[in-house]
Amino acid sequence: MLRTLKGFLVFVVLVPTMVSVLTGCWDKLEIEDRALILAMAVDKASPEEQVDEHVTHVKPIKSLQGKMIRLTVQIAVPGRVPLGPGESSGAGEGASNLPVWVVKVFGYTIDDALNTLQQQIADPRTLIHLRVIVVSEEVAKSGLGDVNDYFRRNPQVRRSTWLLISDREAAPFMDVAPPLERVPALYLLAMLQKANDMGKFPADFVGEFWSSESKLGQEGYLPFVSIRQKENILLKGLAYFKDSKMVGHTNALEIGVFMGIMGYNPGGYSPLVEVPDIGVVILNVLRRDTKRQIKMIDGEPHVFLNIKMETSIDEVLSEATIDSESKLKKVEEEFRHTSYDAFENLIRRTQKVNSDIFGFGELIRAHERSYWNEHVKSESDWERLYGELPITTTVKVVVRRIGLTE
Amino acid sequence: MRNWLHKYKSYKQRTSVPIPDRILDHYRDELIDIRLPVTISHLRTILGENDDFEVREFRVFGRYDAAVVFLSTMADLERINEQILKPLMFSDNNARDQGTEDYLKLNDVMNNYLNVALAVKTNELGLILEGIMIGKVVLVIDGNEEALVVGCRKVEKRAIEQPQTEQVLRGPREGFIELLDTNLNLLRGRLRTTDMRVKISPIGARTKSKVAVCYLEGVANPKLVQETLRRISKIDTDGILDSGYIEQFIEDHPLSPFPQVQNTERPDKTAAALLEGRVAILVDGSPFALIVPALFSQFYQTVDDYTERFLMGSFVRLIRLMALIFSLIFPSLYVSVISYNPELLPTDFAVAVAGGRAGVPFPAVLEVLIIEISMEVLREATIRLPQLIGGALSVVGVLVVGQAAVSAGFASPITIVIIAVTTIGSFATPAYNGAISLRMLRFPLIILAGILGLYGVMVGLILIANHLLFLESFGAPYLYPIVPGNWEAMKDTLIRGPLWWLNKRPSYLQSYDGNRLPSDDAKPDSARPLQFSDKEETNRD
Amino acid sequence: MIRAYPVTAIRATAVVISTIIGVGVLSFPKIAAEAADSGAPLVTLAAVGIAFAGLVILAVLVRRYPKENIMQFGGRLIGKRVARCFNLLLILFFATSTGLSLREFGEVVIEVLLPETPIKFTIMVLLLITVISCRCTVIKFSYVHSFYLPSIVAISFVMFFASLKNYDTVNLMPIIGNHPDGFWKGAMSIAALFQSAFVLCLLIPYMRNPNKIVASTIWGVGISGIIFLLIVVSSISTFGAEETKHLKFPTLEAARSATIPDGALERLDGIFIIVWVISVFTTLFSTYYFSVAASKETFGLRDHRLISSFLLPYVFIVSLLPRDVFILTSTGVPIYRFGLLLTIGYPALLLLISTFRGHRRITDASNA
Repeated sequence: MLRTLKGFLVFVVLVPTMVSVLTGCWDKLEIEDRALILAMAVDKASPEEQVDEHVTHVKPIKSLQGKMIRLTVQIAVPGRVPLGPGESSGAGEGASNLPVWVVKVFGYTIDDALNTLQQQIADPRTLIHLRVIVVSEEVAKSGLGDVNDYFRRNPQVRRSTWLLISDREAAPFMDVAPPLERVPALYLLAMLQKANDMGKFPADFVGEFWSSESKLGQEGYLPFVSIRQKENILLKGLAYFKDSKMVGHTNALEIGVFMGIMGYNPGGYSPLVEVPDIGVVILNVLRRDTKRQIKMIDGEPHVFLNIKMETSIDEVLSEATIDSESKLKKVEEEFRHTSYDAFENLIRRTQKVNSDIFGFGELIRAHERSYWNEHVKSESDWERLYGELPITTTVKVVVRRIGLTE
Repeated sequence: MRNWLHKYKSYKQRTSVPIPDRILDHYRDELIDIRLPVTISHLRTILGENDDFEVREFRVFGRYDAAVVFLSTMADLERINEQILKPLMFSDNNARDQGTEDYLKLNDVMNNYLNVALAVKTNELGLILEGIMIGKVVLVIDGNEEALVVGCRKVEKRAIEQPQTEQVLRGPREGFIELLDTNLNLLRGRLRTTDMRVKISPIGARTKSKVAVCYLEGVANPKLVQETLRRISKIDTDGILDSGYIEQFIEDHPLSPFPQVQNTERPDKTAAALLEGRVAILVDGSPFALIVPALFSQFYQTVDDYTERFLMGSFVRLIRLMALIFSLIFPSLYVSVISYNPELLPTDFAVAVAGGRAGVPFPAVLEVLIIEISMEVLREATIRLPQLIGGALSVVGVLVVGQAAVSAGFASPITIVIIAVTTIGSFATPAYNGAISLRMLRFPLIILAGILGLYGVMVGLILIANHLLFLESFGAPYLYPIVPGNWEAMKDTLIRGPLWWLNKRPSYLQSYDGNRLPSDDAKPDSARPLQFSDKEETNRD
Repeated sequence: MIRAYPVTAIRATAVVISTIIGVGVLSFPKIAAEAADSGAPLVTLAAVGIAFAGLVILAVLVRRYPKENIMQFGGRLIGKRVARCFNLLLILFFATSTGLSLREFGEVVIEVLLPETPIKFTIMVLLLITVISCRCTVIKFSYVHSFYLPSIVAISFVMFFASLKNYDTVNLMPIIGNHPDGFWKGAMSIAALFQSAFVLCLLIPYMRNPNKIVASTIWGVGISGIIFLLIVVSSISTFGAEETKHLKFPTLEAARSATIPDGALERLDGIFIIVWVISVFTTLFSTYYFSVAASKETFGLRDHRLISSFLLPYVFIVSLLPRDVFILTSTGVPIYRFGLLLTIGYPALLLLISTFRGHRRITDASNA
């Protein structure tokens, strides 16, 4: 084969060409050829607007009849986002010049909907940069298990994605285009990340949620959001779950309450307290220090919470001045009462719906092995037991700073 | 293909057919005749076709016939006049010699009258012919069996200046030139110890270039010296025009992209190498000295590291090493991230990059390859141009061509940045032969990245690393000291340890005198303290 | 010429560590979690203990015969034919183990890096590099391991420390786990990952100081054990035992969630995968090299380079045989358990016999 010069040339020239053209590069997909899905919204589809494109099935499945979901995705459009600094595209322009493309599809399941999506757009979809998923309350109440399954199996999806529950429809979140950020999905992401940094919400990525859901002694929770004035997103509270079904939500300050019970720092909430003899005072919680203990009393576990908060005074309404130790103590005392009520309230509410978002079950599992092994064989056992778990809270408040003026 | 393999095998075994120098071989064993006219006509027959072949006949002391034979283009006529013809023809000497003999003895002439430094007596025609070709002058006196070969070569040389390819900020600005004698002069001037040995022998059947092998006795391992001499003596070729030819004949792995012999134009670098226990090879006609054995660390170490203080030296060395690594892997990493794993980019950057690449018609691999190849062509072009045009072209070329390519829409701006950083990084590698090898290896890595993404880059890097790990230069492992793990030597690898800490020579050289500095418990010799007064007579040169 | 560098104790340690850290590192937390819930670190510790015992027995045995390798003195101790059987079994086991590890590696690459590329191609590429690299001598073999070692060890520690802030110690309690039913089974499966360090028996004829091989083994297993512990701790404390049981590659997920603060570097898993390819390569290199060198000894061949090319088809076919992931695990587990028995049992047997015969320390003249 190699005897002649011609043979040699064939070998040396043709083979590498063949190698580079025919064989390799199965996975090569240029970044501009991919449809980067940045954000997704999942809603229940109303019967009127449902469309079944029959992309994944020939005959409709009986068990899934009428149960379609609507998926709204935000796809990044290469070319509209310039490299390097430039004017932000949202200013003064309408939605038509957004650097993202919002597409709406229907399907029985997430994968069904995504396949329908792929049937309609040119570039191969990729979820590697999926940062935010918004799910409507309706879908959350009927169970997130199916939604989760797709994302857990897919290796492209990161565990650091944010899963949000919206109070009404989820789709409008995809159209939110505030002037602060070029790519809207990234605004959503930035909002959550910075909320986390500022202490407004714990670092509850979808990965954390999945871990909590898997645990026998803990339930997951997710941020509960709402749109205000078409461009702002309000972090309305915290949605708590039982068995991947949403069973209730808190209001905004109760996120701080939750973080207090869990002992998460930094503290970012400012409770408003009405102190007798002084007036209305707004405190800012700086740090929380929480000790959680399990004691077995009569063979039953009791939880003892010891929450200590360090605060500063941000605002005092009325003419009152805080100029003495005793006044400070009054403020502390009043806040202690108020916060104690808030803690108890939140705990009872979750107990009523058997949703242990605080992880007391895990604590018992860790420290009281024999009790746990005997009484808890599955998730539902603990859910039942949690409803009757005695929890005692003690709160201590210290005001560290009062600001520049009295 | 088979032919080539066959030649390679026989080259590796170093068996070869000797190359003839026809005339010399023919006359090698003859002797010259005792009669002058016969000798002269014999020489004329052999070399007379050359128009610069001269025979100057004269009479010594007015009585004895003699002649000087030389090549007028090679011999120094001034010196012939002054040192040979003048004393022998000087009329004053006529009076001295009232000898009754009919023939003048060559010995007498050599001992009493000739004031030349280099003179060898011989009767072999071969040596005489060789001498004439080298530029020596042959003195033949009638009635003597032997002739005198006198060294009177005229040397044309350039001035000693800073070497072009190895510029330093701080350090000597002398470089080797083409003449072996001058080079040895520069080298010996730095190593004035009696331990320095120089062995000279000619190689190259037609060029007969003088090759000098230098080493420090007692520091260099004799086995290394022997091996070097052995390999050089096995070189059997037509001509050695540059030390690069020698390098290619003596290296261990000719097929490897990495050089196993270091070359330098600087005498201070050569002297430092000799002090470590290495062997230097110099060739007449080439300003580049070869240093064996050579390792990977030569790629990023320069003289500057040692002449500056150690903190600075370490820092700069680390930067150079980083530049070296970047120049190897940057383009392939870029290709693999863009084409295979965009999840490694931060999201907003990923979207922007997608925007930057939106108009480009080629896949990332092709784009990178096209720009890389253009850069290589540009670089080759700038070597040929004279300094004035060349310097501007390289800078302007990269920027302008790159910018134009971006505006024309067939490259994305990030590609240009990556390629520019890579190119600049490869300039930071001090050793040119090392830089070339890394430049070359970039291309297979890019292709592998284009086929298999990040996995391909890893596979390529593992292949390269394994190759380096298995490579040897004259028996020393190429990646020394990282690989055989020598703590002492690591003090001078990534960082440059302070000089008072580097007290051992590299162990791969296995020199007999392992300590550079005296050991810690050596006590100063109180019998001979250092003298600093200006009144004392010391050995000044 | 200058002499070659004999294998030092540190290099022997490097061989041990980089051999042990290989493919199994990615999925073993799942095995440990399934064995004992949050007692997974304890399971790992037990596994390290078992492996430790096995390898130290091997090291002590080999130290007694510093000029020969295990094939040769095995024949002397228990008879040539019996030893030959054992040797063949060892060769077969290591070659098969190389194939299975390759397949597992291919599965990970397909899942995470290159979904569309046919697995044959990915496997073949790595196998080719291994085969080409196995043509070297034992000393160069040790060079390769000591070169790649720092990156492997460094990345494990970096990953551990980078993900520290995600840890929740509650996940690690109770220490022995809620239901440690499969404790010893799990420990055995994990200990099976350590046995590729059997290759150290090849090193001893080339060592500068053969007495130090036991110390090298102890250090080697110790450090790898620490790394394994760190990995399993990081996995369990980030996700909790239950979630770890659900994940196919817990270590990878833990690496993914490790970020340098402020998101300076996202998806550290890219770097992790890169370094993991290196560690897989070193492991495959060791096991394949052992098969090749052992074949050379057992069949009395002159050099091992051709054998290296000839074993390639067998290993390749083995790697492609299992049809899917479940068959891979279900056939892999018994094979590895058998291998564990072989690699601990055979040296133990030889050691016993050697003690009976009164062979104590070195000097082969007296042991002739």
